[in-house]
Amino acid sequence: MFVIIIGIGKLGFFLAKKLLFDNHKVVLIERDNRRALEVSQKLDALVICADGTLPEILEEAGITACDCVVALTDKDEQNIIISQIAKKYYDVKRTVARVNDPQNLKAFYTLGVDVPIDTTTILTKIIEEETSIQDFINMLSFKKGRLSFVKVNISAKSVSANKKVQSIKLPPETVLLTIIRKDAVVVPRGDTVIQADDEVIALTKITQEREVVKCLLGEV
Amino acid sequence: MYVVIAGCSASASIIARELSANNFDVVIIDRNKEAFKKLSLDFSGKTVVGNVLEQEVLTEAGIDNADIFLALTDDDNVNVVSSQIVKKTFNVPKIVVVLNHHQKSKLCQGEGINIVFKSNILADFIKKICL
Repeated sequence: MFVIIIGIGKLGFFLAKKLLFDNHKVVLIERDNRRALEVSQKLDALVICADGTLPEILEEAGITACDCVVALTDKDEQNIIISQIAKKYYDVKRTVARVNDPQNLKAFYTLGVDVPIDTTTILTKIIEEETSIQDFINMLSFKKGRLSFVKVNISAKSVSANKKVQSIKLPPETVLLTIIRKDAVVVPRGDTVIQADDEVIALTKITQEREVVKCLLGEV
Repeated sequence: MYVVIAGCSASASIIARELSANNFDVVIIDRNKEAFKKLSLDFSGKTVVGNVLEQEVLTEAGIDNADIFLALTDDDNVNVVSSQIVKKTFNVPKIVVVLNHHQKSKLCQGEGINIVFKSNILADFIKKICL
């Protein structure tokens, strides 16, 4: 794969290093002179010291042939612009962008960034879920953040324990995909009985996550 | 008429004063509250301190009722992104984007969006004087 990374802070640096190790073609763009020099000495990749939000600089980096553009600068407007230029001017397949301020996440989706990475929210979710709702995790959000896979650990006290799947009133647009029982995969059907120690994986809309957990575990 | 301005630059403060003197309701957003010192004492509009890219800040500025949005920050990137957010999320009928450079203008073209190239206007004006 050919990847262009704009913004070579710690994250960009280690990402580039890993991609190079995995034999991908990587070109880096970094605005700061000193940082660009430092990086070019440590990595075996082309480093362009310039403003990566400019189309002509992206062209110099080879954007017309690249598969993925990764915008990791510390300014959200720059990351959005880079992603938009990549898509609209050069038809790049995939744009990944760092979200610095979680309040801007919506803007990233509205303006067409394929994969906004909001580490603050991801970490907050992990931390909050560890301390409050220990029994479920959001495994993956996709489709522009509207759908999610949720994994719920059923205990003996859960409201759905020993109940048939068909008797559980789940919110609309929710599907129980799989039940993992010991090491086996159980395909949930209407008459499947949910048991304690099951791990239930559901696909639902992100706005309904809490509701789904409530239906399976009870009031938390 | 309700106008929301992004960026309290020198030109913004003059435009704000003119509009407000003509009975427009003016709200200016800037992430730095020191920027509002540029406003004249007789400015009768409202100021909001915050990041114009955030929906909450735009809502606080009353963007839902805005007839006009002016993207006047010094940063082309902020102007291009904020004008798109305002168009796509809030559908404000008239938007003016002031840009220093041409390269990113294609991103914010659209119905009701007017792009002004600052440098072109200056260059034309100076050319007229010199030639």
